[in-house]
Amino acid sequence: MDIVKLIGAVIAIAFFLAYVVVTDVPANINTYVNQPELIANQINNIIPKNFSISSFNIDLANLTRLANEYKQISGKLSIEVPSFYHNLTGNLKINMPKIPKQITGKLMVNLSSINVRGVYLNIYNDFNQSIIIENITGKYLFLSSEQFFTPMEEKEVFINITNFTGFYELYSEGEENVTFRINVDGMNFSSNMILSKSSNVSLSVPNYRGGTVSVNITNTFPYSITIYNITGKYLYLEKNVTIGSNATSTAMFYVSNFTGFYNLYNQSKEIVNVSVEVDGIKISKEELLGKNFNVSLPNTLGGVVNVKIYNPFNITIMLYKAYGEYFQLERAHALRPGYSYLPLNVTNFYLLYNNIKNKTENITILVGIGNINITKTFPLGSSINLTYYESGEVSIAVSNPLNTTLIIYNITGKYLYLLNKTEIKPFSSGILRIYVTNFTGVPNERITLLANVYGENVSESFEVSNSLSISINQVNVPVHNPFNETIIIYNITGEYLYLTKSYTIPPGSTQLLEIKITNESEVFNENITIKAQIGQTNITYVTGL
Amino acid sequence: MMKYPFTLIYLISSLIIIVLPFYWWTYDFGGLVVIETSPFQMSIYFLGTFLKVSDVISAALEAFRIFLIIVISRDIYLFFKGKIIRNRALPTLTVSYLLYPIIIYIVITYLMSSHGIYSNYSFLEIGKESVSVRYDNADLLLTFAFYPQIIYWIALAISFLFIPSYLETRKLKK
Repeated sequence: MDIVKLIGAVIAIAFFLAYVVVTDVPANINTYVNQPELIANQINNIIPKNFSISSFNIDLANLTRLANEYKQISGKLSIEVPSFYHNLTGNLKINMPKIPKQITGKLMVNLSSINVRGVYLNIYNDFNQSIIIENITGKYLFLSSEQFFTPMEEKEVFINITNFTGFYELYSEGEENVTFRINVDGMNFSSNMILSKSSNVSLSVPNYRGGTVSVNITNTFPYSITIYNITGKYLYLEKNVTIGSNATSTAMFYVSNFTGFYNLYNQSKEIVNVSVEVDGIKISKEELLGKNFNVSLPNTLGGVVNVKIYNPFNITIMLYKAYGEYFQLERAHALRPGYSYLPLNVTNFYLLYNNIKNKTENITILVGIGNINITKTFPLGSSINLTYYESGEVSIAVSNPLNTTLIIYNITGKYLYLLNKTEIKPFSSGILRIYVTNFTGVPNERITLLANVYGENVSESFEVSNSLSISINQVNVPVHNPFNETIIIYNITGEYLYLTKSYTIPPGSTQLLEIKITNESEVFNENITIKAQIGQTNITYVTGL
Repeated sequence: MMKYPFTLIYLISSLIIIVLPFYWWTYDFGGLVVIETSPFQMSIYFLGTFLKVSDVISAALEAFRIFLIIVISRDIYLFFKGKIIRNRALPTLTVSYLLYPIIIYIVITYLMSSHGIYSNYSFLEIGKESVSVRYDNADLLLTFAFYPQIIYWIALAISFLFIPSYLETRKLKK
């Protein structure tokens, strides 16, 4: 036996035994045996299994149905506002003082002498006004020429006698009736008297003079009125006057002709131009001035007015809001088909009606027809067509079946958009408020949805159809590569799912695989095919989900 | 002493080859299993992970290396003393490596058939072959690659020096 070989063999065995002892091979024997199996088992970990599907549905079938229904309905919604609230009629009671409309006076007539040719009369003008005696006539008497009397003048007047015998007979019997024709300021008056030794002719003469008159005016309107002017044929207001509600103030008028004024005033035929200010509104108008000075003035007050509204549909619709510059509907009302009356709160009737007259008062209404809310603005007093081409707001219930908050940022299409960002809590429902600009376009519209699920932003484009439902099905499956080999996942395909792109997972790292699911209810029943590469090995693996 | 140059070169270069810590062959089974081996050390990688059992195997092989180093060193020493001892270790090791693919083929074919794995694997001595494997519901397409390192070719070349060495020392034996 070769001694060196023996020594070599001993050393070699000693080395090996030393290794076995130092590294404690017997204790680790399980590690050596199980390690390949443990590694093999890790393959199972990289196969996406048991993932939950992040999906939610927004059922827009309702929207489509409404849009289709909405095509059928059309009608004219009208709102009529009664006009009698326009004016408040009230009184400005004018209390005219007793001012002399006529001047009464006497002509003192004394018979001075009688002869065959005529009679001499001594006449005293008791008026403080000039008069002209145009004629003095009796059965057998006449005045040959007009006589002018200044105030307080006394003079002899000769009157011709045509038949002395006849005259004297009448005179003796006291039956000589004499008529005085008098002219005062161009106006003619007649007065009769029985001619005797001494008699008076009483005359009433109009007062043509003018002057300042203070007049009490009572305002029966429910607001304060400032009168700037009242100007008529025979008077004008000297200074503007403010009269409180149901109060009396003194106004100073200048009357240019008392008689002329009174004549018209008593018959309420004095046409005056009145300018007043009510609540900052200046109004000039013509009114008839009389004892009852009925002035029609704008109603600047607010109040409730019942408007007549016509619901053209054969269903009850909701009127949620109705408002304009000077009015507002206090609360929502259900409008039955046909006519209804609704109370509107008006802040200023005059300004409201003025706007209606000028066609500048718009009414904005929020009407609910079925589930469609429509906001429209149109001139008050006209009617508005609610027809298929109209726009409106639609509320759609969306349920969130996920255990995460669903945030819907936007839904946009050519004819619709989401009014506000909507968050729906896990396992609950929310309302999407969608504004439709044109209902006819909706059923075939392509719309885009922007949402956030599990912190991931999702953008999905889809078509609205009659049986529409939006499914956002996307799973993000984390896949960890436990090996020291790069794994490339080329594809994961199934009838109802697919991988959006291929993924290269470096050794020891994890990547989120984005898997889209096209049918979330069927997907769990299908087999998926995974195509991957580990090292230089291509693997095609078919597995159930 | 210089009458046997081939023997001298053969012995010294054999020692060098044995001492050098290089792998001779690599057997790559589609990157899933990679075996790097020499008669004196071995590494097995499974899915890129080094299998710890390789160390135990390597320890045994390293012991063999130590044994051979001692033996060949003794032979060289004796050679210089004028005593020639033929050492067949290196040719035996290098030539036997050509048989390994046959063993691998037998083992793999056995394992596959016993596990119900279907494959189009046919015998591969050296180079590359695409192998498709069907097991349960998985289809694998692997590239088997068996290839020697340069150190193996050198070792093989040195092994061939055994022939002239044998011839030149033939008389001595008689």
